[in-house]
Amino acid sequence: MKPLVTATDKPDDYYNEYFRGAVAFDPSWRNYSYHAVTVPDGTVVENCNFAQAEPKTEAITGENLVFRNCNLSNVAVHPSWTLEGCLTAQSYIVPDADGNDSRQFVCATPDEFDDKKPEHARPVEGKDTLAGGVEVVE
Amino acid sequence: MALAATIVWEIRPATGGANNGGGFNSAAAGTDRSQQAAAQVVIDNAAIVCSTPGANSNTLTFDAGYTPSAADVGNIFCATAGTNINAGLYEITAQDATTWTVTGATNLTGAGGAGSAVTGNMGGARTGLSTGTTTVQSKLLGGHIVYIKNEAWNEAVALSASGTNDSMITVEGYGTTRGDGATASNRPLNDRNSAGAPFVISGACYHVKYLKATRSNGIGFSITNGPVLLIGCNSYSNATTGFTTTANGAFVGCEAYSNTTIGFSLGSTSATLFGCYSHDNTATGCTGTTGQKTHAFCIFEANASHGLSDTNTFTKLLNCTLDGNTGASTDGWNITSADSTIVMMNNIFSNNGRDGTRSTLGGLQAWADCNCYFGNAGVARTNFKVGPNDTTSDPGFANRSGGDFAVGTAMKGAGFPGVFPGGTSTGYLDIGAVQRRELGGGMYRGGLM
Repeated sequence: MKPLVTATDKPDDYYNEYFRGAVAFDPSWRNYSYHAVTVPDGTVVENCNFAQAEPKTEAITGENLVFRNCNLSNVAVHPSWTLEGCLTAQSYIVPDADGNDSRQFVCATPDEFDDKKPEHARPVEGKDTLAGGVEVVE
Repeated sequence: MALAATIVWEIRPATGGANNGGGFNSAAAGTDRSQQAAAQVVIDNAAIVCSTPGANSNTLTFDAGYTPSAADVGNIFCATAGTNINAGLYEITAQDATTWTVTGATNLTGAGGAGSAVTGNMGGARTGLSTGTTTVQSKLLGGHIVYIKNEAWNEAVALSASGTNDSMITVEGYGTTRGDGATASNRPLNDRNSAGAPFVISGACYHVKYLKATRSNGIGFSITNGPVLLIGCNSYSNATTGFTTTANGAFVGCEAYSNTTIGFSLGSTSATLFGCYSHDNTATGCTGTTGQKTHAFCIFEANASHGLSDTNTFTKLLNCTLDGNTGASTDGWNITSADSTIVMMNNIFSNNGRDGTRSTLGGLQAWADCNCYFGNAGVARTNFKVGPNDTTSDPGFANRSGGDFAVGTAMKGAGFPGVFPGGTSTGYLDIGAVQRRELGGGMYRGGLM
């Protein structure tokens, strides 16, 4: 399977490298970082990465899903889902000492998130505000 | 006196005891009581009553409830409390009909006078390295071995004691039998469930083997002092990086995946990755910042940024596979600043989001040859020279989506070195991380993943 985003091929709603657009779930691909994903209802998903840029992102569409050992960092969790051994940490992207992206942990689950954004959090929503070595490709 | 250098510790996270003895001197003549869940002797100042004869004493007298035996010698006694008692971990070095003689970092009895109302345990595995009234990690010395059994585990392990270069401290996971070279789910998994770092190594000179880390609220394995050698370790679904080192070290057969930032973050240090696998991380598979880096027989695939990224490094990239790293500006290997001693041989750069290799240095004088460039969305190379023996053939991976990067016939024997200087020897090495096994060839003993 080809990467979900390349220099020449992106989802129609691709905005930037932090918001890469919507794709369908394909069991042969495990890394959905920064993508919105539609997963068929009732699917059991194992060892996949759905991490998002900002807390409580509505990134996954599907009901009665079972996630095992997945990275659901910053993903808003639907009440019908079953989570087993998944990371549900909420965090903001912050620059490290070298200007590269790192993460500031905020809380362990989306339910604990209080919407307080660290002052030094890297803005990721507008392509004109990106900085620190992150290339933006329209 | 300190504990002997031949102490072997036993950790059983779910079934051990926080204040069990947990250790045995492998050079002693007694019977190892640490490889059992429960303590062998529980001194509770009720059923078993002990005292010490005077100040600064290392003799423990059994006043009631237990008769010492020769089998006790060599076991660790964990003293937890008592009047004039220094809590700590002590080795039983001798015994008679009514006493143990012990040795530890301090005297068992303080300067205030004879000890009484003693409590503690001899034998039984410990629940952790950094738990209990006196932690195992605080007593580690060069030569010590810590075995950790595969049981449910959630502990902030902090290793601050140091070994020496000729006497390393070994921390090793196992499945069912010590030294079984545990793989996959047989390795102990330190699942932090969004708490702090599973492993912080701030002491020097460690061998860390066959351990797994997940769901940290930060880094999986954090190494701030060296040298440290990690073998067969696995770090996944952590809130930042899988492995981070700011010290000299090497990683052999380690795997980082689904971490929320980088798989392997190698700071200003000399570091080696050998036979490692970094995939499906939210940022780069492996980053290097300044210093000597060597990556050999590694796979960096399907990361959401570059497979490999280096800044100011002197990297040697040998027989690696960098495939399918996803993103509009994602390369197999991206270099923002580098030294001209970079060597890049026998690698596969395939199906990446942008270029196979890309340097921001127009005059980069890397020595690059016998590399395969295939199916990258951008160009094969930006600011890298074409090697005389490069290829654009399909690597013919056995099953990319299933994580099997065994190469096809086009890569067979196509790598460096070929004919050695002098012309008397010829080597045959496949291009890429995964070498072909031909019928009649040698038998591999097993894997680390």
